[in-house]
Amino acid sequence: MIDSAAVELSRLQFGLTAMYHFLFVPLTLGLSLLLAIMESVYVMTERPIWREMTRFWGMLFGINFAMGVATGLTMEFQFGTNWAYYSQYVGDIFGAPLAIEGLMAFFLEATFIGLFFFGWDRLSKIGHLACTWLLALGTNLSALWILIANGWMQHPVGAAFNFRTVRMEVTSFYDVLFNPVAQAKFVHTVSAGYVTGSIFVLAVSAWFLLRSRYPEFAKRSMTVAASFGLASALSVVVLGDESGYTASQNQKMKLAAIEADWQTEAPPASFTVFGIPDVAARTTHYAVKVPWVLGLIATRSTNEAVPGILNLVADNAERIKRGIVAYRALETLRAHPDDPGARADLMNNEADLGYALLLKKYTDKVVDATPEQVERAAWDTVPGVGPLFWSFRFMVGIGFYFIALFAYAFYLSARQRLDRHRWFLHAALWSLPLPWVSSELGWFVAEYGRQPWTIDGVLPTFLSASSVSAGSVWTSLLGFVVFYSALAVVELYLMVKYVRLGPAAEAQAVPAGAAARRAR
Amino acid sequence: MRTRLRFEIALTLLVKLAALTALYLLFFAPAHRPAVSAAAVAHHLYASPHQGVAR
Repeated sequence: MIDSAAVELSRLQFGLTAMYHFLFVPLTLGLSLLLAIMESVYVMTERPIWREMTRFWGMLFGINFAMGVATGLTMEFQFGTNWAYYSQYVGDIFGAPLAIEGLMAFFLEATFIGLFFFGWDRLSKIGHLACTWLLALGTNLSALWILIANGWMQHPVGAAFNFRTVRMEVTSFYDVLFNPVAQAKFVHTVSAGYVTGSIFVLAVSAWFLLRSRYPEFAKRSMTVAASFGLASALSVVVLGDESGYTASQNQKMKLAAIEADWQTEAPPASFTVFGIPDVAARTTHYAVKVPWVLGLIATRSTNEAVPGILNLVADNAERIKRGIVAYRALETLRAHPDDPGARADLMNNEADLGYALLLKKYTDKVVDATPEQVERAAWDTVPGVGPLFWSFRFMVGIGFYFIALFAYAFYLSARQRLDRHRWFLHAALWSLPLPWVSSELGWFVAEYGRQPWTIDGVLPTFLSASSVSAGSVWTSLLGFVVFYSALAVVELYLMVKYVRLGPAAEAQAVPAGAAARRAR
Repeated sequence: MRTRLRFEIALTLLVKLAALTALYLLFFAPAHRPAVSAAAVAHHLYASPHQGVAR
């Protein structure tokens, strides 16, 4: 029997470790590119302040990288232990991009981060700049491979079920690579990382200006952050729209849950800006709607409907029934692998096989499921509407706030008035936690919205977890909490300490010979 | 300052490596992993009580 406590604890453990790991990732993504931009300006202009900027922000990048590196490894630990059925069932596909990420992108990143830190006085300017750009490239490629793996969980293309090996196998690696969901997620996620890096530079620089420290350094840093941040924040919105469109094509239930749309509206569907979703009554109270917007975002047309939750549940009940036919055929094929009728049934209904697996929560005799069990399983395909509805709106709200903040910073920078408005500097400083909040909310929307599946439409979460005891998951979870909390404290301590010391301390540490060369 | 930072980062990385190794050995080493074969997956996902597992 499936231990639901162990499944929920395994989910909690994986979710916590993923979210903790993602505290480091967006800053690494954003700062790596900002460093490359700053150093490019240094190489072009040969003005030492740009070198100082690259080195100071590079030092903070290094602290973040050192704290974050290998924190994602614990998720890989969990695949084999807590998610062994998942790993066996889809490991052929899911494992490939993860392995490529480790072998190619991470080593590229790790090699060039070494050259970035230790190569200042050993490499030519152009050589060092090339290393910095390759560091940024490696960081972004790392994100690409991880998001290809994640995108496949959201939209499993380029793979087919093999009833002889009882696992999913790759049929087209090209389709896995160019999965539209993965590509949309990649550009959306890295843009969010660029926003995080820009807010970080903006906030720390604002703190320097508020304390009247390093004004030239801070104003130049803010200028770079404002322009790069504005472009990135606008990209996040545009590319988020692409993510929404791919969800409307491939994860209709996720989109309906995010919008708390219970009924299918006449096209073009309206967007619910505010409302109180009521799952029990299957309605959204006090809904404030903007006409047409959802229809245009989700379908890019004015005549295509966006299906509501109730309609999708009815569709999924039918998919469960077709899945039962596939399940029955599979049972026959396992006893008689060459049975032509069973082969035809499996082939015709294979796309819905995963839906039949949802019934395992209610009965071991899937082929004899009752209509009530089918209906309950169909309702299980609805993820938590309330948490998704609110998480998405907070994330989007923060995104639009960033556009306003960067646009105003850009305006002040163009007018050379960055240090004139203390209220703006305070706003920039106190905005520091927001990109992390919005990034984590984004992940929550993506992953919680995928429920009840680990692989959308293929493998339910409760069947992906291993038969481990809840006690053992509790113990390892406690170990992770202690480990990650300690790392978070060290990260904060080091970041605050070296920000307080400022760029002057970094410059003082440059060896005398190097300083003389730099002055020339 | 940079020497100090290098020392702090190196120390943190060492402690992190030790903690990760300890977590791995305590909870995730092969001894803690359930043995999951194709037959076990077939049994877990696709076996009904009235049917034996094809091996």
